[in-house]
Amino acid sequence: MSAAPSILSMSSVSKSFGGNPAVRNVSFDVAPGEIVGFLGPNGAGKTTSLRMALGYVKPDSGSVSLFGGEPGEATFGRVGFLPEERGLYKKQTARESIALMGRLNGMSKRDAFMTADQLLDRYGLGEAKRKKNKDMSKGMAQKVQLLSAIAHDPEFYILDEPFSGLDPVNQQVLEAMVREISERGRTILFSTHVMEHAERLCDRIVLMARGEKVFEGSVQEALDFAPRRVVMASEKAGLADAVTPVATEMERLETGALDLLLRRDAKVPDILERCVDAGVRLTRFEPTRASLHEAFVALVGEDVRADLEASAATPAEEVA
Amino acid sequence: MTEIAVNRPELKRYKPSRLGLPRWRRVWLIAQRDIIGYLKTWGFWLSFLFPIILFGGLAAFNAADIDINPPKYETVLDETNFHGDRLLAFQEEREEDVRRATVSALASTLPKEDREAFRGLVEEKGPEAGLAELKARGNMVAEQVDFPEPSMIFVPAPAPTLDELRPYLAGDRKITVDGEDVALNGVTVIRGTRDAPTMQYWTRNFNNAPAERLAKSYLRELARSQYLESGGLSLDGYQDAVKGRTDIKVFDPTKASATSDDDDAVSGWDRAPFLIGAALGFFLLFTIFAGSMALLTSMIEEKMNKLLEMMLASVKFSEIMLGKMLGAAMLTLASVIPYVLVGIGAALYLYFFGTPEQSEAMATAFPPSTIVFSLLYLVLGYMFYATILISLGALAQSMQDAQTLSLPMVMVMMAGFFVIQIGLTAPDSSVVTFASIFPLTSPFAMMIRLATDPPLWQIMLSLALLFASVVGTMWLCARIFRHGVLSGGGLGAIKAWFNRTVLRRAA
Repeated sequence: MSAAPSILSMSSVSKSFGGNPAVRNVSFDVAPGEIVGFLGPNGAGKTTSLRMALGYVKPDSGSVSLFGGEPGEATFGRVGFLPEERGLYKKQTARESIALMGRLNGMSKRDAFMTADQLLDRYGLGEAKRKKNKDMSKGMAQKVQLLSAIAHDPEFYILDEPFSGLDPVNQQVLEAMVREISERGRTILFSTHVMEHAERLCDRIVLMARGEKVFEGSVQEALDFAPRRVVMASEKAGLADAVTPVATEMERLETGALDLLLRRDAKVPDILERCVDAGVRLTRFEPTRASLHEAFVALVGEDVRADLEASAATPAEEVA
Repeated sequence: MTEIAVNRPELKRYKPSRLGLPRWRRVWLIAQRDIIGYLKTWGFWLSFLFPIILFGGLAAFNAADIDINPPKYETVLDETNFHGDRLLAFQEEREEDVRRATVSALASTLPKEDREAFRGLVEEKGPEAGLAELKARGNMVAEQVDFPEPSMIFVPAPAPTLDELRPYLAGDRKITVDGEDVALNGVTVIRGTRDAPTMQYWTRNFNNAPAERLAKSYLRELARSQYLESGGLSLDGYQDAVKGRTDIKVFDPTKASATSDDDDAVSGWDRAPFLIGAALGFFLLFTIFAGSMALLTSMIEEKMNKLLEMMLASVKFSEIMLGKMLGAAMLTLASVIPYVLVGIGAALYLYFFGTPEQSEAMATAFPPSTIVFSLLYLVLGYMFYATILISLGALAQSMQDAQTLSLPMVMVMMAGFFVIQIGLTAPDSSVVTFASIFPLTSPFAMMIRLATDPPLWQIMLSLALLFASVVGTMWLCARIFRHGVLSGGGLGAIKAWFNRTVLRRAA
């Protein structure tokens, strides 16, 4: 972790609603310039944690520090927040929406409208500048809301499920926007239940499940927790017997090859040595890269897999 | 993605207020957004233009000289050959009485010293001469007044029998009056004897039959006259005996002395402060509720737009709340400004150019203290109701929820309406006194009590309670808002909280 003072620091934070714990003893830091992914299925406590980070919700216990102090008026203008639930004033135009947020964050009227126009041009919405929000497609409206959140070029971006509801093309555009913001030295914390975005964008990830932090570290460190797979094939019989001790699961594919889920302590040289000892000549040996999704399941256990799959199938805005 | 440079201008950073006070720039931006949002709706322009359309329509109606209730043509079939003429004379007397009453009411607009001479003129030359005299003097009220047209005009019967008159009553045949064909509305048939007449009224327009009421009055007078005559008395004698003996003048001890004459008695203008107090009460009632209801709608819209959460990263909740309250207040005031200007204009005109009585009435109705208290009640009353309705808006999940939640508020509004009405006739009643101190009704009820010069401690207590209620509801509103908007809790969450905290049941 960087030695520079953290932009956001959450320390042993807990929060319950009506006796139901939403977040339990969560701690993590966000250092300047990082892109941190806040991952977990719906109901994992991500949104509540982000609301505590912004000071909207007070933690029952623990502490939150934003820019070295309490979140609130002192941090206005330094944070840009895109909430999970999206919306715009229907009768405003795109440029009015962006300019309003810019002005609320301290921009002059002239600067706010100039920036709004430039942002809309830059992100392909130049034609829609004077279009009313109610007449925009969902994707366009979501982009306008994101531009509203970033109009004042804050130091720290908190984006709650920014990719939800976007089509694949707009997801790519948003990913490019996030990279560009990061390249300008800004800090980004975004939540998502779609692991692929985090894999592609994040320097670090925080994994949440059922209100608790289950992992914090780099993507690679998380992947190390994932069980490794390898696909092997041989012209001679005996391969299955040779590798059984190093595999926890084994499946024969239609091609006759074996798909092995390796034991955590299994090492590739050991596997190859076993094959040589058994006189099995390999015609195929393909270790496959584990996904963050698999790492997540490995970290939190099989019982969370269902939550994760349900989240992936459910639009975030439909979830309370 | 097109490479277009985006300039990043310097932001003005505001130091947080040590006392947690709102930044008015942000409050104004929120208010401005709400105002512009409302200005883009049809509803606002309809309500704003309504008085102009209404008054314009009435003016056009007046200019077109359209008579909404034209006189009805009536006739009489008199089989007694006696009461028909008397019935018509009785009608003329009644119309003359209406004209005299009109002129008598207008006499109160004259200076006291001129009234006696004016009464003499009316007595001698009739009410028409009186009205002409007032118009000749440039009396502005009299210039707008004309004697009401008679509600019915009696014409000779176009046929001698009822059967022959039936086609006229059915509308199949018309009568000609001044060269114009008009419908015959009804026939009053007088039968019986000179001493014991009976009457029937024949018409198809039986829902609006002034001739029936005339006939009843005539028969009542006749019965009274015959009864008196049976005892050797006459109706004229009775009327002379009563005349002037029931005329009781009311004096206000703060304005008249023991030697005051009748002209110092309480007049219509002395009652003006009460009427103006009631009007102010209704004005406050309307303004406060219109503004608060607009806020409720605005809050629901805000919840549905789901923008609040994003805005809270840049604006304090208190600033959003104040911005919305300011925006709704400005819009509401804009929509009532035509009425306010007309009211102020009329009051100033009467104060500076009216008779001494009118000028005094305006000074009594609008002392500086009333103006100050009215403004205080308007501001505090609005803030009180506005915060309540913002809280309801934060709890509501839909328009249906909002309507259900606002129902008790509408009932309170109705209560305020009734309190003002009671205050008009009994401003010192205990109901009105209580209502003028109770925060939910004090902004409206105290307006009407101010005309009776209530004890200062009651006004101060009422204002203090209202102020405390505003502070209390704002505190509560902030918590309800946090719960309702940020924690996603609606009415169900409040119920759960009540069960858990008050009833001590498990959630």
